[in-house]
Amino acid sequence: MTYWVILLVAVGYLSLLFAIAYWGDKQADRGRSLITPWVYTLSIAVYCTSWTFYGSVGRAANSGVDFLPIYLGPTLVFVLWFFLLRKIVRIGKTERITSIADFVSARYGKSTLTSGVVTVIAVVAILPYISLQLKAVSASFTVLLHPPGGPAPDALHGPLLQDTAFLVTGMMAVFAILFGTRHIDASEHHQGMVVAVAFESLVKLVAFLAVGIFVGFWLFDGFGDLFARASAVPEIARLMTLDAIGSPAQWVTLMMLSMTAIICLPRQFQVMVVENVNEGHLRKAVWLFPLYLFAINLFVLPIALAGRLIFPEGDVNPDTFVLALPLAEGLQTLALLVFIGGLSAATAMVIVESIALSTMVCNDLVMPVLLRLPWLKLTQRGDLTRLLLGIRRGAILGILALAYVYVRYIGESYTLVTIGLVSFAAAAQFAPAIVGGLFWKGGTRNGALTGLILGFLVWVYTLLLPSFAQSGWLPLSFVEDGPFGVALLKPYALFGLVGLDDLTHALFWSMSVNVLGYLLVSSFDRPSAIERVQAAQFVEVFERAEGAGSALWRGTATVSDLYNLVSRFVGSEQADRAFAAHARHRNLTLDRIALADAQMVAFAERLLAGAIGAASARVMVGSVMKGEVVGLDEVMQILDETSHVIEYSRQLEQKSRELEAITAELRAANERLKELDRLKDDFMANVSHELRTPLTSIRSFSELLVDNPALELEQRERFLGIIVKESERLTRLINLILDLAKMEAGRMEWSMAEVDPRAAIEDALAATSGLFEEKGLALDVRLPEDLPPVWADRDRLIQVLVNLLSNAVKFAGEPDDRVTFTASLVNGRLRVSVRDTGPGIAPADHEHIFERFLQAGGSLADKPRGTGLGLPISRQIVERFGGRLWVESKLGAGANFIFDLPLLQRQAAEAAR
Amino acid sequence: MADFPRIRERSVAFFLLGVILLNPPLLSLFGLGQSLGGIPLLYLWLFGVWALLIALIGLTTREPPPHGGEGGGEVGGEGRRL
Repeated sequence: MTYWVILLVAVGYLSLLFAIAYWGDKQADRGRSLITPWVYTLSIAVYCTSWTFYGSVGRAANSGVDFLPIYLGPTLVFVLWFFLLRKIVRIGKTERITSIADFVSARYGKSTLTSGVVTVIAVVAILPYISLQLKAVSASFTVLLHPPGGPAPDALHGPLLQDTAFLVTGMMAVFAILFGTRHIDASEHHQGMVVAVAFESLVKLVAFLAVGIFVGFWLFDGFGDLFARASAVPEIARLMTLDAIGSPAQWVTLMMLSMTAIICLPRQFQVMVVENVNEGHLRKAVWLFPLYLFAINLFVLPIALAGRLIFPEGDVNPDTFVLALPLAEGLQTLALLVFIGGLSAATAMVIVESIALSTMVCNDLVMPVLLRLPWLKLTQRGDLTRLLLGIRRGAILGILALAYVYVRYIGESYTLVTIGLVSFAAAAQFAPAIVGGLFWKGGTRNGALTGLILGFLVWVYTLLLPSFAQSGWLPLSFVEDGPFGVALLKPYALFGLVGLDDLTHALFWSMSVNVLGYLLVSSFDRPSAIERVQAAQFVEVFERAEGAGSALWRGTATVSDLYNLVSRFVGSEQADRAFAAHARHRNLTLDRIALADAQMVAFAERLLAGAIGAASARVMVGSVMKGEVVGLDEVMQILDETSHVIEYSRQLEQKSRELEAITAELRAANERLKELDRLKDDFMANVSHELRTPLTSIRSFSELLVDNPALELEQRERFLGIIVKESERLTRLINLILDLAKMEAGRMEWSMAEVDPRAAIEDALAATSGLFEEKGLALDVRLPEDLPPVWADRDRLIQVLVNLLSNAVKFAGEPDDRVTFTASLVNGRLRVSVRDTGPGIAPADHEHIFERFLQAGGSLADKPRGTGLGLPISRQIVERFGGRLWVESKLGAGANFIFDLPLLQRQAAEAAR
Repeated sequence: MADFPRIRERSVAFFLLGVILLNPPLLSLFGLGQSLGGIPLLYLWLFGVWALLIALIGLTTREPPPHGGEGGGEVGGEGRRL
């Protein structure tokens, strides 16, 4: 392929990216955001740089599946999305975080020093990583120009290639400046850039999968064939075992590093948190992104194996297998696609990273310093948006220029993966401060600073300086013999710690001092007011309403001062819109209020933080406040009050829930009482009615006798007979009522004893035989010879039996009706049934008839055929004996009254138990 | 509210599962050069567990986002004494 074709394709592709980003920005300006959960996910895939694209295969060709932990770690972190990512994204929104430095600084009291330290670490850590991308692009360019087998030219020092690297760097700088610093946005979203990066993620995935499929099905007969042929060569077969990966410790180290990297790398933080437009997108991205990683890694090992098989001499750099394989087969187009894929991976990373770093450098390093220089009088100057944009553009240019210089002078000696891992190890230093700050309110600014600085210094000593030594910037004896020949200080074997790989060694020391420094200093520290406020804002972000810590300024500021301040940084148009929205939200009329309340000050500070970072925003707002910052005691009081209010409202909620439950109970009890009251009224009405009937007849016959003394004797005797009979009925009724009352009150006297049921039944039958004869009814008695005794009150038992029998007589009134009396043993209980062939009882009335004064067919209007108390009393008696009384019947099919009683042995046995 | 703690517990369980399955010493069981149907077992195992983890993450995202803050429902014994 000629130089110009490749260059044209590269430039053409980058132009396409410009077009996409431009389109994305335009759509966003029109309010039609192109950011969907899918685009969001693909933008997170900026994680896969050229390091993934070329380097993974290179690593796999040397040490097997060793490349995988770098992608498994993020997957594991995403498993914890609900705790971790969701919280970070939410904080990013409530605090208007603009970068990872801003995040750390905002957590630790909006400290300028902290944000500066984080920025410096990030720049130092990421610079080599950006260089790595530039190197990868140049290297891939070289491979395309001079396919393997031909003379291998010097990758970077030829005049043409030098131009290539430079050209690509230049185009990326232009892109980053155009789409990363188009304007100062209060929310710091660069939608065009995100859309372009998402597109690039798609391209690199497609390109890589294409190579995988090409290797599997063009070079070999499917992956089975590839694996089989690889297994045949012992040296290559080794790559498919765990022996190839080096030490298990390194595997764990890589996984831990990548777990921190997915959050702590500035570009990941940028796309995941800062560029997040909708928290809901996270829900989809958390499984789609690991799926992306899965897909892009699926063919890495097969490609590496194929590379080793096809280039057995080892003259082809494994990092370029992805390109060299298609080229060796003469597939120029596929090679070009791969080149574009690699270019995508590299440019996406460089663009996002340089935008993230430039924001940090501007907001967290340069602006705080400028704002503090009194002679600049920045706090009083007019529109500062141009200054901000200028600083960011300068930062992008500076960073990319440094990266270019780095790749020219140092990038030679290291393979892609090694440089990437060194960067990861530095970014990992942010992890204790971030994760600790998310979940532990006790972490303080000094603790975080101590941890960060110590960890960073150890990283510099154990990883960065040795890499300089290996690149020839420092004498190699620094690594081999230790500085000044002190063996104890050898950077790869600090204090004589040997047996670990360089990375694990560095990570062990740096993370140990980092975490310990953070924890120890934090626990002995006395945090300032604002640190405590911010700690609470972060740790309790889900519990607190937005702006809960707003009362941090005690002084006053006028609305116009605040407005002017904000508009100087974000432009008057955006400031207009934001203030109007705020006023509308709170139903304020801005023209009518002069002094801003605490909430508005906090609002302005947040707005400003979105543009220049939390630390600078605080300085700026402080410059327009008249009065002083709230003292520690007051802040603590405010915080306490807030948490008291939260606790109090929780308690109120709890209490109101309890009250609701109690109210429901009361309502139920009230219903029950009303029901009882109604029953009592019914009972009284029924009793009166029942008593009045015999009383009326007694009275009327008595009056007849009184009024007519000359009545005939026969007549007189008949009347007296009626009076006696009615009096007896009255007495019986009153006795029953008394019984019932006693029973219900539990004051009934029971003479419980062993009762022979057969004898009792015979007595009852004898007592009622007259009734049957009178009516001419037939009575079948089925009574076994011997029935075991029961524990009961004999007289009461007979009362029940008589009641049931007399009921049967009463209701089975027709001469050809029959009554069947059965006693038997069922399931170890005595069962007695009295069946008649009378009119029967509707199922709806089965329970009714056991209520006082109610009879089947219901109302009092029917002529009563009994007192209406017999069945209720019988049931009470039977239940008192531990039995049950019920009826089985259908209308028109007779009724069967049944009761059962436990036997004495069983009762005794149960009592004994 | 009721599903809140369950997402948390599940996430932690899945995370630990992933950590155990994807790291030595368990990993070394599969890294001895065995193969299954011509595919290296180590390769199958790593990608198989990976796919499983992705499915499990999908599982934790299925519940609709509960409204309001997290942990709001946890009222301690103190609250009841009022």
